[in-house]
Amino acid sequence: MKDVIEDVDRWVGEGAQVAIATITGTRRSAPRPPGAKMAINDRGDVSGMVSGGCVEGAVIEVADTILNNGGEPQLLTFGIADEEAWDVGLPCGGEIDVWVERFEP
Amino acid sequence: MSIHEQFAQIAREDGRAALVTVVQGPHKGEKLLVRIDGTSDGTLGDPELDAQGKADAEDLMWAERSEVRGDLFIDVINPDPRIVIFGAVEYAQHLSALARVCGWRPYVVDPRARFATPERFPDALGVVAAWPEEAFEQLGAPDKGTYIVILTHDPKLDDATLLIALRSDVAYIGAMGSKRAQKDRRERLLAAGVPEEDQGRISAPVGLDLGATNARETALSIMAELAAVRHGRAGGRLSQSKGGGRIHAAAEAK
Repeated sequence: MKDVIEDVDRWVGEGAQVAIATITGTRRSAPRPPGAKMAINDRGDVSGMVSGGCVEGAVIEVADTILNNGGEPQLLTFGIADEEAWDVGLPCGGEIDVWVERFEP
Repeated sequence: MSIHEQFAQIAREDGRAALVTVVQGPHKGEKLLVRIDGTSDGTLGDPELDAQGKADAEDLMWAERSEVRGDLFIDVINPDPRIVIFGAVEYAQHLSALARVCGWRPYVVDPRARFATPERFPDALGVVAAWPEEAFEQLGAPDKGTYIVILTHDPKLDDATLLIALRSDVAYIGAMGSKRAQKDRRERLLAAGVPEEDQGRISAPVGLDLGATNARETALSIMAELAAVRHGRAGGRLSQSKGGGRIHAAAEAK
């Protein structure tokens, strides 16, 4: 939470809608541990990261859906074994689970 | 105040707490905030799940680890680890600088007011010119998030610090000193009523074996040992580790 709190506070203060993505689990080799966070607002600004830039794009898309279309929170899994391995995956060969939800201020 | 906002507020105050979220199953999205004093807010939508979440939260808050257990994700926040350095010596200057770089919170204590000045320790978050007991009154009692490093060569100050440290549940107690100094200390502590097995908690001499040849390298070896202890590692070379140098292995172990 501490990694994104300053940006989240500022965005909420400006009246933006905010989603938070949190790593909940990792298998094999993963760059960031459970608890690491990324925050996304409805204007497209991003703070923090959940991987080394490998899966952020896909997380932002899900966050957009949650913020703009009232989507339910989602638990996502990314890994090299994914069908999408060529565009979304972790080069270090690990898998991560990411929980994405709306931040209720 | 929403559960999210309460958790954010504890994070802003650099406190310790756990936010439990149901990430799978019928109660998906429900939340329970568990504070360090055992109080909680919110519900996971089922009394049994609440009891489970609370137990998991209390378990992980001091382990300082976030993880999934069953259908629950336990998100832990905790203050950065605190290093209390006894002895306002040159090593303490470099160790407090390295501690800040690594995101730890260094404090320096020495009853000799001439040495324990904020000017000499610009990187320390606090410099206390007092004996250990009074210093901990000012800095807050030693707890599981505290690492104690004793760099004085003064038996009186060493022993006063060690007696307090050994009565507490601090994460680490390290003491600098030659083999001879350690032998003397062991005998003094025995005489003061501290049995051998309790003395086993003392890491002496402090630091990893880096072959340090100056005060900065010695401070690095101490900081490296602290990081290794915090993460439950022995502190060897990654290239020679069993995992073949898997640098992200820590994430897997969690």
